[in-house]
Amino acid sequence: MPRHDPLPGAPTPGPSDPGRPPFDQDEIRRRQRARSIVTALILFALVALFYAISIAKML
Amino acid sequence: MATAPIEAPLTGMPAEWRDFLALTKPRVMTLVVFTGLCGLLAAPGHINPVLGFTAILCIALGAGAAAALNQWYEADLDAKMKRTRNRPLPAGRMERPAALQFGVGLAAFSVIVMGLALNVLAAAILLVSILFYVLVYTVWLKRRTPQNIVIGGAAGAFPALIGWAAVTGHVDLLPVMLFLLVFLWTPPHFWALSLFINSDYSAAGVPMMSVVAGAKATRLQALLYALPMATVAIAPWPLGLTGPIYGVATTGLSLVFLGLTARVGFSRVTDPTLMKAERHLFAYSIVYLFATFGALVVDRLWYA
Repeated sequence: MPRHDPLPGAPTPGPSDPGRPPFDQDEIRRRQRARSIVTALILFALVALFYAISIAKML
Repeated sequence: MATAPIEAPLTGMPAEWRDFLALTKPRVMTLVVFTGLCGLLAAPGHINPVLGFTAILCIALGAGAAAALNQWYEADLDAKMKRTRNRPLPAGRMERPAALQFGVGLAAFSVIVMGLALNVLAAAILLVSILFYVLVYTVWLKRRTPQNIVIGGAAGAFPALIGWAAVTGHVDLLPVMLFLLVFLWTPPHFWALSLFINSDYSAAGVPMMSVVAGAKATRLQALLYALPMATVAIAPWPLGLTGPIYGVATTGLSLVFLGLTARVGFSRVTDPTLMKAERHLFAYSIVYLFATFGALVVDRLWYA
């Protein structure tokens, strides 16, 4: 499994939290990537919707 | 505001997008969207399909927002109930602030878009329905009174009104009757459910009617609500607001509903695993609402 540096903003176990297991950086990356793709798709759909609403309001 | 601890440990992982979707209770949303769509289709006048779609989308997003805020507030309660303990918050797949931000953001977005794309009245009713569900039902009533779902049922009754208002910009007698129909339908629907999962509600400390007043009183009250519900359902026909397609369909559907509620009302079964009549009523009540609203749309389109 490839090693990655901790992601910016991703939770990492530190001295203040010694009992916590290390987080799987690959899993965090996978989830963030999936969320980014879904967010992009939603934003794209909203742009199309707002464009269609603008046209519909003018008719 | 209560911030009770959640039983499952948080993983610290960012939540999956599927968990955000689960937060909106998509299955419950189906009924909300359907009644909203029926209100929109039954309303007189024409609406541009794009704007009609936007109205339904806003109703769905508003319902999703209310569900997310409900789960944010009730995470501790959900953790105690078998039916709800695998939801994203009690299962520890999501942190509470994320659910709160998601719910508030979705609510604001749905109301603003409804106001800009459709009209202020539809947006105002949407806002009231979200606030009613979150503040009146979830925060105020649910943990305090066995009348929780009676008054809280109003929140689920708004979509038809919103759909109608989105088209017409005002509210008439027919959508008010649809509102009343869903309002009166809610107690028998939920009390049938609460009778056979009574132990779940009892364990969670939710004062449902079946927990506080017992099965006998719950059965009787379900029957007492079913009678005015059937009357309100049929009334638009003799009042001349709908035609015979709706009238005949809803009369038949309501008679079956009354029959099933009477079976529950006079039942003496105490073992939840043997409560067939209650399960039948719960399942039929969902079919009933879909069929009644479906008949209304067919009727309105047929005689338009």
